[in-house]
Amino acid sequence: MRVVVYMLYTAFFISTNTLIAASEQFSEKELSTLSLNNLMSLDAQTTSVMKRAVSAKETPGSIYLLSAKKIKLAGATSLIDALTLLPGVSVRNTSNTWPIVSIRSAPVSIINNLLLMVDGRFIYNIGFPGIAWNHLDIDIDNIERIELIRGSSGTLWSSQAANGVINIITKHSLDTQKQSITFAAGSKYRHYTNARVAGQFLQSGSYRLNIKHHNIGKSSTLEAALSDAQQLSSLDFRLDYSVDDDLSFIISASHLNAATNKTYSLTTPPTYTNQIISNQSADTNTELMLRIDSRLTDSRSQQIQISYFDSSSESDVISAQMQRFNLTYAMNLEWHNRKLDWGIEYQNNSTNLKQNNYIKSLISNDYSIHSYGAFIQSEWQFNQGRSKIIGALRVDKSSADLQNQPSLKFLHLLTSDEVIWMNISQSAMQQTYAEKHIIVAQQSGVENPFIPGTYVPGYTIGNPEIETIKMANIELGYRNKIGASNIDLSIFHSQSNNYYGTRVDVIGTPPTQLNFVPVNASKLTLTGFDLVLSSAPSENWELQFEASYLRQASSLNIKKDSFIAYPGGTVKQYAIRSDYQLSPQINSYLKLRYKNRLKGENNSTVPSYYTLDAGFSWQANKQLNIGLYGHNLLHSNQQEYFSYSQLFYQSSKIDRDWLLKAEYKF
Amino acid sequence: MFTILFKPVFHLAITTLLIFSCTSLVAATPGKREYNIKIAFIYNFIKYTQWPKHDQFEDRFYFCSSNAQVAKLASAFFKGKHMNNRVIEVKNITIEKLQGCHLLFVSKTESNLWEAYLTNKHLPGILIIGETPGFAHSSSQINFFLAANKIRFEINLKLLQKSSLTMHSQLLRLAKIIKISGASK
Repeated sequence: MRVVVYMLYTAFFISTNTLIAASEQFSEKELSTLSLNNLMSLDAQTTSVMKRAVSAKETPGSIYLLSAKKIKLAGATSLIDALTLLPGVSVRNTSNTWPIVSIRSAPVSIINNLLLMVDGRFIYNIGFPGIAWNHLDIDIDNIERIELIRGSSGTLWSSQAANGVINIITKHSLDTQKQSITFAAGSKYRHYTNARVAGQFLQSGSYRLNIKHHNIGKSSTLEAALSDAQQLSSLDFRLDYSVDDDLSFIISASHLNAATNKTYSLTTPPTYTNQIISNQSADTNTELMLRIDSRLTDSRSQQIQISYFDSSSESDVISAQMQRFNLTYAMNLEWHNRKLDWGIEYQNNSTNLKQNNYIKSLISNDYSIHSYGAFIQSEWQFNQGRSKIIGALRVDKSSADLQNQPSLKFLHLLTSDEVIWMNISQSAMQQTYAEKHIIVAQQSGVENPFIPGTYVPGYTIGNPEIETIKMANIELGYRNKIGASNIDLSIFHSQSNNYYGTRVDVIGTPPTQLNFVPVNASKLTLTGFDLVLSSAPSENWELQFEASYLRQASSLNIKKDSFIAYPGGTVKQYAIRSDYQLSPQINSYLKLRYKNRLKGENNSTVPSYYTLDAGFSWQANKQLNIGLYGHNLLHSNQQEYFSYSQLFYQSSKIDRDWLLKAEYKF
Repeated sequence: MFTILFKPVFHLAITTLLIFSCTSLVAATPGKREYNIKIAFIYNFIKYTQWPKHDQFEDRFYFCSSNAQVAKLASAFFKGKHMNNRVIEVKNITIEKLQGCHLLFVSKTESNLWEAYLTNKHLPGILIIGETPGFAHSSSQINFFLAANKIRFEINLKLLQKSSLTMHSQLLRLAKIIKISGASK
């Protein structure tokens, strides 16, 4: 606790110089103070579609903007590295390539409450919950910023955004016109190569092409027969073309090949005991996107986005092919003191699952689902622009469910630097094909009475009757700029009366099989806060303190012995980040993080731990940048997660690692 | 109830989409916010540009535009601001009344008139900034354009050299460079 108080004190009270708020959008009064680089990050029109451009300070939601500069200073090599820089996002590594990412919920890999978007394109699948973070091979240098929305403020975009949204915005290809080549090598990344080719065509067209290859080694603590190593190669292309200031196109395409080793804990007949094995999957992803942005008047703009995603994963444990087609249209309007956004969306998901001893489908192997969505949001400003009310509604319709996500937000400027806000909403967590129709073999934990030393088979069985989970949320926020420091606090309370629980069906007497069925059986309340304090003790030093606290209380709605409530518990994480410029050419980075003890269902625990990441980067000349970075510097290895609630993924210990990186631009 | 309403609402939305799509053929004019950002850009351009010595108007720097809206916004923006101890003043001028101007901003709506006037005219010591596609190929040293709703600018090096103005390398590094008329890099 003393460490936390000291971190807080250091971050908040040492400040002596002004720090610009962590915002990419500024009020018009502040324009004369902005540099060219800051001006180039502003949206020309506040009716920018998909995400209305407003000052971060004047957003009635718990948000954080991570700039490209902050990502670069931390030496992030992958998207997973960049996620650890987001306050309020819990990242616990289960292996060298597989993180558990959660926002305002206990860390579990099977999630459908966190929406990831890349340039407004949804990265989720109605077929399977969870996000394959290790297959999102975005070039870090191409990221303009990452927008984080904690809590239910992002429900306007999807029925998978109940707990938060991570929105990755990549740079316009005109802003990445330098050819570049990056080499890195270290203890985790055995080698990493990234080359960028860029150019322009006609009068207003530009493009870039990235070619990447990396090889991640296995964790040192794994036995010789086990592995979590990965080899990955990818191509990423983006083309921008503007017909004029009012009409522009973006075409992007990517292709990825990966060979990923995962360690599984599998229960197999005839003994149904757990066997720890490693298996390599061959994964291929292809993605295409076309976006058309059109400005109709100075107060009205529209956007159409079409994307197609095709993925294939082949292994002895899980083999599946998935296709996703998405069509989105959105429009922004503005008149006097009112703003209106509306949009519609169509998505088709197809899944083909190969059945084996470990995973089966209750219905046809081929599964296709059509889903439709629509949203409308209206903003009304009053009190001479110092107050605003935003009402919003999102409606989603898939094959069986219709979900409504209404919200009402209020914001008031107490002074030009001090803001209070409130958000009252209902959010939805749509159930996927996997939760409804998939059977997964897992250890039952019940010994077979007839054959000593063996177990009866156990299965997690999808429940076609499981309903969309509804949550009622209230959130209060406060932001202030006090001299050189910024404070951003949000306090939240959410409640669901139909959250997940498990029904245990015992087959036979004595038992010959146990089935674990997901049901809407728990009452869940989430209470907590997120706090970010930033400060600049000097012109060349920036400090940031981050604290997140979540209390998850759960009880059964259905009082029967055969039902198990969703686990409760407390999740705490604190961090302090320092960016210190030693000279105009040399920068240092340091981030110390604390995560609390995690208790599992079977009384297993992951102890609390600290991680320290640090790095130096040297801009040798206009072309060459060299960086040396270390992760997990306090321990030779540590357990960040235990797979107590995973279906059959096995966690490994995370090593201390270092990385030497050289980037040459010409 | 919602299920019954959903399909008609969806069809209505598609129809509305088609109607609005057709209206996109009409060019939009920049709004107040866009002009305010462009004026903030111009403030930075002034900081990073060196003008040749002038004998007169030593205590004043004149920002000129024939667009009344731009002139009004610029007046508010530059109120109380200086450039090298020279007060920045805004003049709402008419065409051909360029005398004394250090900087001329030509908005989209007046670009045709100005282009005819400025083409092949030698105007040393005046930084001309446009916002119309192709304007920097014939008439201005700097031209604004939009890329994914972000404001960008291009610089014509040939016209810059002819005008006897010098620009800081930081400005040139951020710009799209037009090396010779009609070809950009």
